[in-house]
Formats: sequence, C-alpha cells, structure tokens
Amino acid sequence: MRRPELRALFFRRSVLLLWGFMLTILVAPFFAPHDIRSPEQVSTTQYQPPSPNHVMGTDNLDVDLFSKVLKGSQVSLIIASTATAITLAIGLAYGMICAIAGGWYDAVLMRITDISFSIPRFLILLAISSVVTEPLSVPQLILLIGMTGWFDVARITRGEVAGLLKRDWVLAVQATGVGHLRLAARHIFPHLVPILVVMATLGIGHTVVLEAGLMFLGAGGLNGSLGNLLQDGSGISSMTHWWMVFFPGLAIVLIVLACNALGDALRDVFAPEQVHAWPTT
Amino acid sequence: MNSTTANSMTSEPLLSVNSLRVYFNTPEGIARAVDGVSFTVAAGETVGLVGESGCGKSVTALSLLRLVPPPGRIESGSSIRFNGKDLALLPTEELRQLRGNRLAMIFQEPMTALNPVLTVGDQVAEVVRVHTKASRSEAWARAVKMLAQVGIPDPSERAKQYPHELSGGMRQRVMIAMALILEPQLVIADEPTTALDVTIQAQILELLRDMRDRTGLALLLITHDLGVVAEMASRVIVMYAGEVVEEAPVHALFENPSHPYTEGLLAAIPRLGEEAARLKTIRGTVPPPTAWPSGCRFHDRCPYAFDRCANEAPMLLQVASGHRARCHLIEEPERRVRGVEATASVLS
Amino acid sequence: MPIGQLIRRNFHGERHDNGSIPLISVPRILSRLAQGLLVVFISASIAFLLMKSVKGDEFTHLLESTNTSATLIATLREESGHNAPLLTQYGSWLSRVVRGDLLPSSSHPGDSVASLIRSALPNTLLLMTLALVSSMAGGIALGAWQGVKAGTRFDRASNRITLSIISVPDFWVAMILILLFALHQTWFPTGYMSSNRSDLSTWEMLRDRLHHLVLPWFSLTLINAAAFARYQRAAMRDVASQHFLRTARAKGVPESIVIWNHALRVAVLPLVTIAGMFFPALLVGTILIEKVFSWPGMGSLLTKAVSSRDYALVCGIIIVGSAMAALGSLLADIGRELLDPRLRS
Repeated sequence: MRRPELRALFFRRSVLLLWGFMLTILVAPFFAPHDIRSPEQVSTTQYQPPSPNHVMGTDNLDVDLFSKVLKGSQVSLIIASTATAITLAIGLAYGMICAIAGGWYDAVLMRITDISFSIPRFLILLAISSVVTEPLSVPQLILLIGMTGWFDVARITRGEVAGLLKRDWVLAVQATGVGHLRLAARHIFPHLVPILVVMATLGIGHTVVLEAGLMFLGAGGLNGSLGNLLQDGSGISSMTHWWMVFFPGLAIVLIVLACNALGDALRDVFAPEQVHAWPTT
Repeated sequence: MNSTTANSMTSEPLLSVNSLRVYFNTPEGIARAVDGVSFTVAAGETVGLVGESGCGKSVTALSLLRLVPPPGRIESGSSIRFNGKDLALLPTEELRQLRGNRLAMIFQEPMTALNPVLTVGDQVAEVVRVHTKASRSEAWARAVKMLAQVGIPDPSERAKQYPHELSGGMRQRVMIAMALILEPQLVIADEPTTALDVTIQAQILELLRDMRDRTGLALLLITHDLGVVAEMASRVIVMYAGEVVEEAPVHALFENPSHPYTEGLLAAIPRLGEEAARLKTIRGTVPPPTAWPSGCRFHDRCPYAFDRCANEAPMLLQVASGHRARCHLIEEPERRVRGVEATASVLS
Repeated sequence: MPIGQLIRRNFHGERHDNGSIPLISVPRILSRLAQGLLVVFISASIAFLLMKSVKGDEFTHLLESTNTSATLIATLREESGHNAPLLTQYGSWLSRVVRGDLLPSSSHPGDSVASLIRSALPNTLLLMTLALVSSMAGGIALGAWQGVKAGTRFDRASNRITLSIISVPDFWVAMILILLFALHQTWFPTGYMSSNRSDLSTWEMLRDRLHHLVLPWFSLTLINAAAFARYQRAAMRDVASQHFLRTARAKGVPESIVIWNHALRVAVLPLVTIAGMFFPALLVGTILIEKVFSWPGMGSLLTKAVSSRDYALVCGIIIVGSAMAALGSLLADIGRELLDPRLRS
C-alpha cells in the first residue's frame, strides 16, 4: 500500500513517539542498567523511591524497577503479539470458510461462534488456570489466550468476505474455473489485509490488558510480565510505595495507547469518514 | 386568511429570488451548484422548476429554507425575498418561525424523510405544537383531521402507526399533511412523486391540486418530469448547470421552446404512435459543478453551437412577453442549423 | 471493546450485515433466551470438564487435612457417585446446577458454593448496575455533544481524550485512585464496603456505605463511559446526515428539539444493543476492581478461589457469570425492541 495518506500517517507525531517507545522496549532489556536476575547483593535497603540511580525505584528485594518494567514490557508484548497472531489466523480461516461455504454451514458455524463469543472469556481462562496443578507457563498462556479470542475476528472476516463475494469481479473470477483455495488466497485475501492490520493493532492492545488482568488475579505463573508486576505492587505492603504500582501500569497504558492510536489512524486511512459540521442554520 | 388577497395589495411577488449562488467546498474544489439564479413566484401561482439531476434545482429549493447541508453555503450577494423579508439574511429564530408555518417543503423520499421512531400523528402534530400554543391533545386532533383531508383512510388509527407501516403513497400524503397543516403561503415540493408508482403519482398530484385550490397557496414544483409540469404548472423555469436557461408560461414552453436544452428535453419524450428506431437523447453528460464549461455551459452538448458559444456566456434574453432564454441564437436566429461547425465544436 | 467498532462499516465504506448478529438485530426474544440458556449450559459443561480433569475431588482435602481413613473416603466417593460412568455424572451435575445446589467449597469449609455466591452476588450487582447506569448516561451525553460539535476543536480534543482513557486498564486506575485519595489523602477508605461498625445510626451507615462506594464506582465508570462516548459519537455522526432531521428543521422545529427528540432518539438505539455486549466486559472489570478494593463481591470470592485452587467455587462463579452475561444481553435486546418500533412488527 503506497498510499500517500499511509505515509503521512507515519509522520504523525503521536504515532512516531509511541512506536519509538515500543521499539525501545523491545531492544532495551539487552541494555538494561541493572541486571534483574540477580540482585546486586542481599541488600538491607528495600523499596527505594525513584532516584537518579534507579529511575523508577526498587522493589522489596532492591531490584531496579526500571529494568523489571522493561523486561516486563517485553514479556507482555511477546505474549500479546503471539496470541493475537494465533487469534487472527484462526479467525481468518474460520471466517473465510464460513463465507465461502455459505448456506447452511455458514449459519450453523456462525451460530457456534456467536454462542462462544457470549461466554465470558476471562472467566474461563481464570477457571482453567485454577484447575491446572502448576501455574501456567508463557507458551500455555499464549495458546489459551489465542484459542479463545478468535470469535469476533471470525465474525468480522466472514462479514467482509460475504460482502466481497457478492461483487461482480468475484463472479468473473469464479467463472474462470478457479478453485476455492486459490480464490481465497490470491483474490480475496489481499482485500482483507487492511482490516486484518487494524484488528491486529487493536488486538495487541486488547490482549495486553487481558493478560495483565489475568496475571493480576494470579492466573499465571511468575513470568515477569507487566501484569505480574502489578500484582506484586498491589500487595498491602507494597501499595504504600507508589512507584510499584505506577510505573508498570504506565507502561501498559503507553503500549495500549500506541496500539489504539495506530489502529484508529489506520482505520481512518482505510475507511475515511466524510465529516461535515452539524448543520446549524 | 386568504393569502392571495393579502399579496395582491402589494406589488412585490410573494417570493423573489435574486442572484442566488450556493457553493460547496469539496476536496475536488468549489462546486458552484447554484450559480446566479433569479426567479419569482407570485401568490397563488404554480411554478415548475425543471432540469436533469445535477442542474442545481434541489439545492435551489433547499436554499430557500436555508437547509443547505454543510459544506454548502449561500454566498453573499444572494437575495431571497419572501413577504418583504430577505430569508438569506434573516436571524435564525425568525426563519425558524416561518418554516412550516408560512413557508413549507415537501421532500422526495418519504421513507427517509420521516422519523422512523415517532408515530406519523406525532410528526404531523409537531408542526402545530411548535408554532401554536395548542396542547398535545388539540394538536393531535388537528393532525388527525389533516390526515383525513389528505385522503388517508381511518386517520385516527393510522396516526398511531409508524412510517414503516405505511405504503409509499400514504407516507407522501403524510408529508403533504405536515407541510400544509398550517396553511402556508408557499409550498416547495421537491420531486414529490419521483419515488412513487405511476398510479400513485397521479393521486398525489391530484391531492396537491386540491389543496392548492382550497387554500390558494403558491406552489414551487421541482421535477425532472415534464409531464408533471404540463399538468400542474402555469409557468416553467428550466435550469441547467446551475443557471436558469429558459423561463416561460407553460404553453409557450411546450409550443415554442427557445433554448436548445429545452428542445432536447421535449424531443426526448417518447410519443405514443410515433415510430422511431431509437429514442432521441441529448448527447453528452451533465458536467460536474466543480468545472462548468466556459462560455455557454451547454455548448459542448448543443447541436447548434457555433464559435461564439464556446467563448461568450449568453445572458437571459427576451423571446416574447414573459418568455426568456439564455442563448445566443435569440440574437442570431439564422445560426439555428445543425451544421459542420456545430459538430466540430461539439467534439472539441 | 475496540474491535467492536470495526463492525460498523467495512472498508469500502458500505454498511452491511456481517453475520448472524447484525447491528440492527431482529430479535425474537425466545431465540435470544434459548441462546442464553445454551451459553449457560455450555459454561456448565466446561465447568464439569474442568472439574473432572483435576486430580482429586472435594474429598481430597479431607484426606490430607484430617485423619479420615482411606476406606471412609472411598465410601463417600462411591456414595456421591464418583465411580459412576461419566455421562451419568454429567447428568447429575447438570441437574444440580439447575437446582442451584452446587458442591461444597473447599476453601470455605462448611459453606456451599451456592450460599457463598448468594451472599456475594448482590454486592457485585450493586456496583455493576450503578457503574452501568452512570457510564451509559455520561457516555451518551458526551458522545452526543461531540456529535453535535462534529469537526470542532472540542470534538477532536475530546476524541483524543476518550481514546487515551480506554487505553487504561480499569484496575490500574483503581489502584492509582487509592494511592491518591485513600493513602496520600485520606479522603476515602481504601476498601471494603463499609466500616462494619455497629454503633452508627442508619443515616450514618448510609453515608458510610456511599463513602466506600465512590472510588470503586468511579474507577468502573470512567473507562466504560469513555467507551460508550466513542460509540455514541459514531452513532451521532451517522444520524447527522439522515433526511428526517432536515424535515424536522423544515417544519420549524427548534434545533435543540431536533437534537434531543429526533437525532438522539435514533442515535441511542445501537447503544442499547452495545450495552448488552458490554456486560461480560463490565463483569470482568467489576471483578478486577473488587479485588483492588477488597469489595466483598464475586470478584473477591473468585480471587480467593483461584489462589486456593477451590475449583468448585470457581466453576460455580463461571456459571453464574455466564448467566449474568446472557441475562444482560437479553435485557438489552428487549430494551432495543421496546425502543425501536421498526423491530416490533
């Protein structure tokens, strides 16, 4: 897509700033000021407030919070992006199959999706985590989140593809005798890319919050993600040290904001709304 | 109050539009949808405003009530005098008091023009409640009475129904009821029958005629259908490319069309009993309002166009009493030949 | 809920029906009811599967914590049907769910899951309902205002603000509010529903309760209101170009009534449906905030259950949670049908 609006988008201040920040997060742990794996020494100091040495303060083991937040952001982003990728893949395939199959299959499969969509995903995930004997590992978490989130992706994809299939050019392509798979892959899929990109962006933000919430309630193990950090910070003793709560949350906010802002902007590029003022005379 | 007596005492016509210009700021440039239109409507008169889609007639109608949606605006220098006041300059509140009251509008698509979540009776009664001190029940009673007058059977029951429960013809009757309930002096009907079946069209036109005869209202009828004009109007204004290109009493227009565009429109009407291999059309298409052609705006579609037409925009010239047209042929009638030159300029 | 906004139009600018839950639904209340029951049924089944996959059952803790003999445990197991074929167990489980007679909870010995939920549910409902009402009211008001001022600086600025607000996790807002207003300034209590003092008069008790309500309610409302505002803004923009508004103005209706009685009446309709879809998200938000504020509702119950592996309680809460979500959806559909005459015939 070489549209000029797309290019203009990337020069928007907000998008640049926020995604610059995200990039920093991804590479920064390799340059973290303090090693978080082993605290420098068994220290008598705990919970130091932010200072020039420790920009975000330290936790109860005198580990630099800034490094933890950086690492945590990395973990959260990895979980969120992988899970979202799984979600999109499943939803895309399901939706396309539904739309192309049409008729009875479509109706039944869509009903299944709708019903699955209505089941509170968060609760189910929480339940699964309470049932397993060991805390959920990162791969397990990614798989679970990914496999429970594709219902609305499927619904949206199916709608788009169903709309596309009604168009004349699709009929023309089908008249050339092309098989379903080729039709789907080469002709229909390119039209879905914009909407998939928007869903991916917004989905990553959404998943980060979801994962944080799950961690916060203790659904997963100690994987160092931002949700974990928030869980640590919410303990009664640590709440009085405000930086323990503030900075991990701030990281989440910035990540999600970046995703939402980009997704919103992308949506405006791909489907611009002609807005006029509310008529007043 | 009989509006005709009130106005025959003054020399000024009921509605007098002068140099109306309505421009739209679009991403593709300024669209000059209405570009210097002037006309009058006398009290009790029925005037037809005719043209193809894209000529600016609907925008003209909307601008009379200042309902042009943004990004459109009425340019300064335009004057819309109604009952001695300039509507283009009137403060919003005064204009609001005139709308629906002295000056009303009937829209084209009754399904979209009616609020889907309010009952039909409420919507008619709303006009009464907004302009008079009538109570809810009084307004409702008047609404029901009006619905009966416009020919809706079982009006007290129908009034409680919603627009989607009525047929197209009935919805249009409701729109007419809404417009006429306070007996306005001028009614603007924007393509009132276009969205309806042919049989229903006839009924609606008859209804309009009835109401007109009963209340003596002036009617500005906007349409692309010359048949409707022939039936209803006493005077016709033809618009093209944002301008008035011809105006004449209705008989004169049909018997002696002066502007080539009017000629084309009349020729395009197929006649029963006439044998023809092809329907006659006007070659070319309506130009976009962001780029009106130079000189005479019709020159690239005109079968008689000659060199002057591409360079010099004609003025509205007198053809006969009450009959004017915007064409150089009126000054140079000998040029009225379909010639080689004409073809050449058409193709350029 | 950001993805939900994609449902509005596809990228060719057309509005269309994208599946079996179109935006303007034609709800048959019965079919919705059936679907809701199906949802609850499936949740119960999932709960059953989860329980069966756990190594151990409600008698395990007895074995470990007290000195009950293994044979006694075996007998108990036999009697409660643990050795029966799976399908029979499934059947009896379902009948227990329907009767509301769930298993005893392992983290609260002596209490059944049902009774625990019964005492926690009203507290959660209180918080949820208040938050729903206020966020809908606030969101609709803001969104409508933005719609009327479309294209102005206010519209653009407030849009950026709502975007920022929905990017914030609600439980974090809750914690920040506690830090600011309950710890740093002690204007508000840090948690719980009331101070549990018995020496207060009725009026003081009410005041005390309200005092405890403020922070949790505000955390829940803020983000949901921003979300509703975004939907309402979009709905208003859609309505703005509708012809019936022009007709109303042509009748001489004052602009304020055009906005209130014509535009809003129609623009609000999709919001009612959306509110139904919001229920699960609102429920989750409430649960998280309850943990932060130690509010004695389903959320706190759930957190304790998760951490102590009391899966019976967790499953019970899932079922109730699904039922609530389904009920909310159903109510929204009924509401929509009441308000929109086009759906009634």
